[in-house]
Amino acid sequence: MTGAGFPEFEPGSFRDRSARVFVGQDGGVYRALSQAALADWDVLSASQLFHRFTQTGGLVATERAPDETALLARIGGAWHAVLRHATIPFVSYPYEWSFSMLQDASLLQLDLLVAALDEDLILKDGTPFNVQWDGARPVFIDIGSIARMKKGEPWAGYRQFCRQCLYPLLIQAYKDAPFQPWLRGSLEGISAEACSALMSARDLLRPGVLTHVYLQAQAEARTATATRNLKDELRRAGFNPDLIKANAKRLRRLVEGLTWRRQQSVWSEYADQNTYEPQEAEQKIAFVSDVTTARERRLVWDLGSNTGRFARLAAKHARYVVAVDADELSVERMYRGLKSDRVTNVLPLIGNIADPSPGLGWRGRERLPLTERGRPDLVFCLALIHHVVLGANVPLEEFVDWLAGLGAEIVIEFVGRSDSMVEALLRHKEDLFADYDQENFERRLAARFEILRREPLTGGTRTLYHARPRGGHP
Amino acid sequence: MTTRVFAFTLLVCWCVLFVERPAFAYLDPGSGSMLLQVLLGGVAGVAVIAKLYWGRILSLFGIRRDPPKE
Repeated sequence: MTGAGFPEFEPGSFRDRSARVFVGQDGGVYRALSQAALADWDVLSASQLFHRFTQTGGLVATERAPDETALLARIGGAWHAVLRHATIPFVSYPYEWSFSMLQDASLLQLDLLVAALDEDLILKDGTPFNVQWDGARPVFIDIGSIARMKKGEPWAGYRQFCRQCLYPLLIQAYKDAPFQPWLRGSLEGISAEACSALMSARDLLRPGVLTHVYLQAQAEARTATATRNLKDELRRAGFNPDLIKANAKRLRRLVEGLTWRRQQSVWSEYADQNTYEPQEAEQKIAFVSDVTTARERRLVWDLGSNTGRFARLAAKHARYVVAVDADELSVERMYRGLKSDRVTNVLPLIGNIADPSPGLGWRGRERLPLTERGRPDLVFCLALIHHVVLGANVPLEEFVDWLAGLGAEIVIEFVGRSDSMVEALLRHKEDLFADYDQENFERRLAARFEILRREPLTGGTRTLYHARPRGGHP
Repeated sequence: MTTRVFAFTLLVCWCVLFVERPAFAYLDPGSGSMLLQVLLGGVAGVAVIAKLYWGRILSLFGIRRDPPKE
């Protein structure tokens, strides 16, 4: 680096010193390569794997930076090449993905690994953070992770793959415990020891538990203090890529066969949970359509998106929609629907506005908070405010202020006190929410936003608003 | 069924591999996972296991006194 502040490498791109990511002045995503990483890239870019996976979208489109010479002169240091990647519309992390999303991201890594081995290449690691999303399609973004194979060495990413992909999937599939809080709790994932402790004797008979969990936990415990140079020993004993391939294929079958059973029992319940009259639903759709068709938005956030009905509506006229819901099941359903319908511009994420993804990792900057990963120009808060204010006890005024801080237009639905959902939220709770009434809401909204349209729904308990922040020019 | 037979075979192999306790010093904690990959490598792994532990097997039967240098 020149010390002049350019480039400022992405705070999450420091673990592999041979290939680091920075955002160029044109907003493009670049990756500086060391001499060794450049040699890897030369092999990779000429490989069948690269062309095949880039064509299908499984690997991020990448080329040598057109202005490489100028960039190299500016970044200085020991860098030998600069790659330019296609931009991912919105960055997300595994603790925001649903079960099937982590499953598909894991399968993509294993497919890449198997394909890489055929061409004397290998993945250096096994982390789902190497995967991002283009809508509902996983994209492997860490080009620097694909390297020339060193003969006789095992897959260095196996343990990491277990901790960050396999074990989270296993605990959700076998124990019905959603993995997101575990992955958010530790970026390194779940240790073999912890995963093993969660499994019962009966679980040892389930696919993958005895081998990948129990034996690995035992092996880690027993070799933690060993002096042997196992890497050298394995090389001398004839360890070869066939072993890695056999393991990868076995892992693939295991991961592919996992299902989260809860979704089969609650699906129907979700379809019936709608408390709207058909006429109200139509009115709401018309309102949202009017706003979204007015002009193309760059990025829409649908907060409390449930299974993504309005996110999909917005996606017809917006470039990209991030649909966030706190309920794992709803997001799982949304992802499956988007995937089967091949919707390419809606990203479903698990998230709770009252407890959003924080900054995590080294200096709390390795993984960024949701609001620092791109600002929306339109935000939906449909049937959300009562959950935030009455469910999570967030003061109403603070919620409106937070929304205003996003600097985007909003479509917000106020759910009145006489609404059955509000009554349900307050049924067993002391009503400390004097601030929660429509008049107070409108006053605060008008203070922070210019209200463009207001429309009560025919059911009589809810009202829709379209507003833009004061001082903004949407 | 084949999965269970395979798992059982692994368990037996594992017991054979870890009959002796390693010496004490720091080593990369990923070494257990590396070793496991030999077992998970299927048929191709058997030869590697045999070679890895050949010296020990020989010394077990008194054919060779010292295990190979590390």
